Amino acid sequence: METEFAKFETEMNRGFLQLLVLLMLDEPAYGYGLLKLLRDRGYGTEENTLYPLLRRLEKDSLVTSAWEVTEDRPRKFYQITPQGDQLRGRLLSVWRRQQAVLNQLLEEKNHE
Amino acid sequence: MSEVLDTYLQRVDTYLAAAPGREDIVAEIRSHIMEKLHEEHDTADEAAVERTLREYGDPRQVAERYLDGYQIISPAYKGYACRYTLILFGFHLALSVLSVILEFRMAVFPFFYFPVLAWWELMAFLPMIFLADAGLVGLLLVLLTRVRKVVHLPALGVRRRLSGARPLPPPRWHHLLLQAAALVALGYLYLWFGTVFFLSVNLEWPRPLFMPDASRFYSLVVIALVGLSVLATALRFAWNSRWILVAQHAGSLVLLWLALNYSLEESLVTMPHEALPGLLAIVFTLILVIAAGATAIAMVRQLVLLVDGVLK
Repeated sequence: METEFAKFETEMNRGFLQLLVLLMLDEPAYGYGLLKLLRDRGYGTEENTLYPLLRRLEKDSLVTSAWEVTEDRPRKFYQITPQGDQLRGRLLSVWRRQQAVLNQLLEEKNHE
Repeated sequence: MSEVLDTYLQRVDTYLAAAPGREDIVAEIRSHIMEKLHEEHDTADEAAVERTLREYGDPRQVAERYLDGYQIISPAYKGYACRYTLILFGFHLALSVLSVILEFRMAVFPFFYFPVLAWWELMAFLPMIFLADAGLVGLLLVLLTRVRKVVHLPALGVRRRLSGARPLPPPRWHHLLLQAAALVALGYLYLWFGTVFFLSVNLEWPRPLFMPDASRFYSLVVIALVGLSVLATALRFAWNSRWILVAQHAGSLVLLWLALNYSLEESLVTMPHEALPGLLAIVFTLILVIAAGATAIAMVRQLVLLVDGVLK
């Protein structure tokens, strides 16, 4: 049952994590920092999910990346591109619509 | 630098072989592990490294996350892989058996090679043939997947599989009547003139194409071929099975093989023009070869559909 749930959760999180990442990349940020930020806000995700996602976003020119050495460690920093910014706006409106539908359905269910 | 970490990254790198920018991927994973060790464990001893790597995941699974959407063979070709291999193997098998019976050697570089084999050698040869055919079909599908273009492959029964098993359509009365009429007409010609092959149609005295012995032989082959199809169609009214068609095709192949083995030299009647007998012999042989090829294809197709039915 837990494995089944994990499968559905991963599926549900896929698009959502994409949106969260795009929201966090106005300023340059690196993978570990992003994961920590998300965990601090109660949204844990695997490294293994985040890094391939960042790579896909970069391939689609939605984010750019650059290696930098900070605190004596090499880190790969990501930042949103104008294209990514545009997509983020559209995805946000999709998410708002989804949220409205969900709330409406839940409300109707509660009144039954 | 930790040896455990290096070995881990080396394995990830190996599994990433098909991913573009693998050096960058590995560098980023290394950077993340180092960051995590520093932030969460405050140490880089082997035990901490091992724990961190365990949390990060199995190297193969880590690599696979970067290869999402990368396919060696498109799942759309799954049905074709089995079907094409079976068909290719059918041809290969038929030719191999013929090479044993007729003791001939044949090579179509680089896909087919038939040495002169004994029966027991053929048994040992068959698994290799099958693997070679499966490999060839696999390679073709890998290349088609890599092309990433929409390629419409001949379905050869794949469509039927998708839409469920389709039974053999029932035989038609008008087919049987036409075949029977052809058989009667051929029989009449043979009984009346001793041949069904004519060089010129003259109602008074038609000129036969072959010398008397050859004439009788080829005519009987044609009559037997038509007779077989009449028998098969008639039997299908009682028991409509693909096995009947397989038996019909097998019988026809034997008859065509006999015809192909009959010496055409000296069989054709003397022509006024010297080049004509040679040309006629080539055309006649070509017709026999094409008929044998088409019959073999039809038989393999029926066998494939039979196997398909059994697999279901």
